[in-house]
Amino acid sequence: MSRFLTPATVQEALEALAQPGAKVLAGGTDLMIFLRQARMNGAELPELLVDVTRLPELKRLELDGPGCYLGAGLTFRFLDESPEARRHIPVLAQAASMVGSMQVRQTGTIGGNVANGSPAADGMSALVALDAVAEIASLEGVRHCPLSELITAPNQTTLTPGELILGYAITPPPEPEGQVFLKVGRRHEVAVSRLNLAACLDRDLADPRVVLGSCFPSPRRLADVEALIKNGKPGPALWQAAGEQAAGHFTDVCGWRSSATYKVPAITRITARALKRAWAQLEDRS
Amino acid sequence: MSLGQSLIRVGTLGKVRGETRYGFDMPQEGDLQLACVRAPKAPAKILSIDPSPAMSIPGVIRVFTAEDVPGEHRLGIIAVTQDQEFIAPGWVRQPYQCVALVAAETLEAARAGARAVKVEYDFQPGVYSFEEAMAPDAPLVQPEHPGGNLLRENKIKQGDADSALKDAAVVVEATYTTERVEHCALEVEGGRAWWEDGRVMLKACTQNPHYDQADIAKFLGVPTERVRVIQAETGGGFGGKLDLSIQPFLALAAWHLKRPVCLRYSREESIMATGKRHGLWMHFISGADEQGNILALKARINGDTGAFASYGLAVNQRAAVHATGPYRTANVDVIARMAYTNNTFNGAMRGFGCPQVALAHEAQIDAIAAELGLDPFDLRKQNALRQGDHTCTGQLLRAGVGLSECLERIEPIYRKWLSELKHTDDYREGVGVGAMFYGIGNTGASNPSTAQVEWMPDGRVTLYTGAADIGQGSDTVLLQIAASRLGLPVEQIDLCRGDTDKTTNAGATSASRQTYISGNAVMGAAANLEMQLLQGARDMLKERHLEVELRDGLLKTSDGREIEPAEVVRHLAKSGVRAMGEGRFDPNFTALDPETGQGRPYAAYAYAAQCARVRVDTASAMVKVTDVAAAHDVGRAVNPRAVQGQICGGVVMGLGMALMEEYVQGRTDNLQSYHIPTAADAPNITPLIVEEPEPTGPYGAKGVGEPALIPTAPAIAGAVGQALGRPMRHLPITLERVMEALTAAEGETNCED
Repeated sequence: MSRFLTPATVQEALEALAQPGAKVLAGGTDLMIFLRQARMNGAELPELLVDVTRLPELKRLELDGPGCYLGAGLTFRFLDESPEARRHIPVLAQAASMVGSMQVRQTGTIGGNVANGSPAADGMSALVALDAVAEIASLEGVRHCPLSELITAPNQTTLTPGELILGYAITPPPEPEGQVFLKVGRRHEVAVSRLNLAACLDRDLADPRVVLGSCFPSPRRLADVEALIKNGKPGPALWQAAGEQAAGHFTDVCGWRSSATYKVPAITRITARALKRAWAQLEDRS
Repeated sequence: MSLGQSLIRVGTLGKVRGETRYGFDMPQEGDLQLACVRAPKAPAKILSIDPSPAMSIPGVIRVFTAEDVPGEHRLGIIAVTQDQEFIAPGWVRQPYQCVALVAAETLEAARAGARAVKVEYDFQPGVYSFEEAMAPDAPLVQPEHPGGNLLRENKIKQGDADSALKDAAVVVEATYTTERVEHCALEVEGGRAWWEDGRVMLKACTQNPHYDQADIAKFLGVPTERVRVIQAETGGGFGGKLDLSIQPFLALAAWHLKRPVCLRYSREESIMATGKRHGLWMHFISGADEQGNILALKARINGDTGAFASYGLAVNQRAAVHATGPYRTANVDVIARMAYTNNTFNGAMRGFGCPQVALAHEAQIDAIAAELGLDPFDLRKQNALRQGDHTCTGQLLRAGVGLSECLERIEPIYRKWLSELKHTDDYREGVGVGAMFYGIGNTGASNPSTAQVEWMPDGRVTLYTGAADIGQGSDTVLLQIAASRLGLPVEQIDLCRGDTDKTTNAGATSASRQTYISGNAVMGAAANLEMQLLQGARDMLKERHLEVELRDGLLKTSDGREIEPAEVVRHLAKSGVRAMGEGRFDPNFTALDPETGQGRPYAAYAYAAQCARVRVDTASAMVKVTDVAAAHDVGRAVNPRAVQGQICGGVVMGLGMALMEEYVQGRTDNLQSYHIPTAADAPNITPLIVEEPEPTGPYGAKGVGEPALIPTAPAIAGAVGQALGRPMRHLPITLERVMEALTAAEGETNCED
């Protein structure tokens, strides 16, 4: 039988997590499914569930100053509805609005989303586009890790028992920018992303960001696509070329699997559309 | 008169408040818990079963195997194909078949016990598709079946299809496929059984309590009187709760242990262990003259029913009988074949094969229209079955044919949507139409219902019905019919439903039959009760020739006296007579000729037409069904809001079949991997009720439960096809299929540029 703990401070949480068999509960929208399955199959359950969603430190939201920071305990619903997030990091606000269902968004957090390590995590793609660096604490101290290095394989991370993601230092692209998140699912809600795409453009195309999710072991920035954009002239031809480059990137990494028949045209089209919309947004803003 | 009023449905308040206890909620403190041991794959010979590791787990009481079954092993809802073994006696025919049953003090112990039972299998080669099953020397799935692996072949022959096709101005030929679909009733199977006065008592979710009673008695090897089945409140069925599921396990354990036991499936177990909608392969060749009049249909339909027949016969026959769709077709040659395989079984699901063939017959009409350059909507109106026409089984449609009116009702909507269609860089829109006819009740077979209505000495009235309300609303509809016939407010009537000790057989809640068939039985019972009261009044007043009528809840004599019926009831009670009216109704039918399929398989048909508007995203290939208009000829809407509810629910279920539902054994055994529509996928739905009275129906009513779903998928497929400029012949219309069509369509456009 699992025990359930609601620590009041990060220190208490880290002490609890240092115990053998302890597991972080950061919303639970993935964990509860896992626990139910384990229980049905008679598999071992975690001895201690540490609910970190009430820790005030994990609710930090700093988007105005020089060092932007997002607490790991922020829920998707909060980010979807936060005017600050909508203004400064629309790519994450949009991604948050498309996660699961209202019930999932109400309780799911960006900490849990990353720690679960799903290749299809919508929040993760947006965070990668914001160059997020995770702040990870344990009783041994604090370490910082870029998200791209945190996930090693589908559902596997470098997080060790006893570690807790406190939040993310992020670097949004220079303003004015256009940010777009697009998602493809097999239905319009409660759907795991078949693919998702986060795109950020700035006026000078100095720091374009294109992140493709649900296509690789974890969402990743497409450096070749970004380079193409940097050196290009904004317009439909460039967006189309970028889309084709993105699809090429996908087949280079993953080979031509059966899913490619759909994914290659879809990546091309989704990328081109996201860039087109991001640019239109940027032009509207300036 | 309550008929035609949208009364609030019986039991609604309890459901809204969360007070209703479903079969799934039956377990009580102290009940033993059951868990099934299931075979991983099939076919397999069971070499040995060792229960001892399970018995050593604390709390495990008993492990049952096939040897503990006292009666018949082979059960099934269709009498001629009783072939399903609930605990495999030595031989496993399909994956997940139960091989042993564990009873324990706690659920954890039962599940641990089920995992611990050691079963040794000798796996054998099997057949896993229609083609494999029909190959020469294929291993037999049911060696007891005389036809080998061919469960049944149904033929419809009328006129001369081959020569009509030769003479036709246009011939269109195409292959269509649909996949297996899971019912996903909100409530998964659950119930409870106990031992009382030397009998097994069973309360569980079901669509057919009297069938359950009969087959469980067979399973236990006892007379039916020794089994009492009470239908628990049932949270949806859609055909999935017609076959037995948990009931034999509950009954067997209660029988042996003489203790209360409960069992409820997890969602995964529910998906793995119960039947699915058959996926069908359909090859259609249709011919028409230059004006677009349909001349002929030649169709071949193949299906895989899995290891147990379940409703395979019904699906096969219905698919054949409805293959022409609701269109006059003089020359017909249909052969539908259904094979046994070692896949998990397929059975009844809302529409019994008609939703599948509707995809084909509607796309064929669109194809004919395209070939001739005619309007596809006009072509439907032109060929629509009308009063005086004959169906492909040669049945004369005498009355109650409301298809043309259904089409007329949706036409302005269809035309408006068509005029508003847009193609942009971001999306393409399309509009499609689906129409259908659907025979009410079982096909070419007797399927009676019975009912009683009793006037109580205290002045209240009780309606007794064996008809299972599974959420579709038969409780309310039958009460409204009884109340209207007796001229009483519904509030004066109590309902006694679905208890084999207290009610008589009403047949299955399936085939959209309860309003029409049980409704007629209730009408009959009410009429019979009225006659008894009138007779009783004359008897009480000792005036044998007095004219009496029942009006406004009173017995009124021609000489102006008014008597409370209860007074007559008490008078009758003195001589030991209950004022109880009996009703029975069996639709007028003839069996189909085995060679030609000709005959009168149903007494009444429902008709419907729907149109759908879709938006196809040109980047993602996602399809959003924005609107559906659905016109349904229900004869007479006993409760219009309940009819609208059925239509809206059917449309959303049809949308799931059209766009996303595809059961893949072993891969989609939970709701994470098996997708059904969410509220976000639901379109704006405009339900339109058409009332073309059915002369043989109660107050002209017929059914709507299945028709609600049947035209939806073809309408959506047609709409997506129009948006992309090419027909969508395979369901579900996945992202992959849409992207393929989209790329091809754009390729063509570019060439034209």
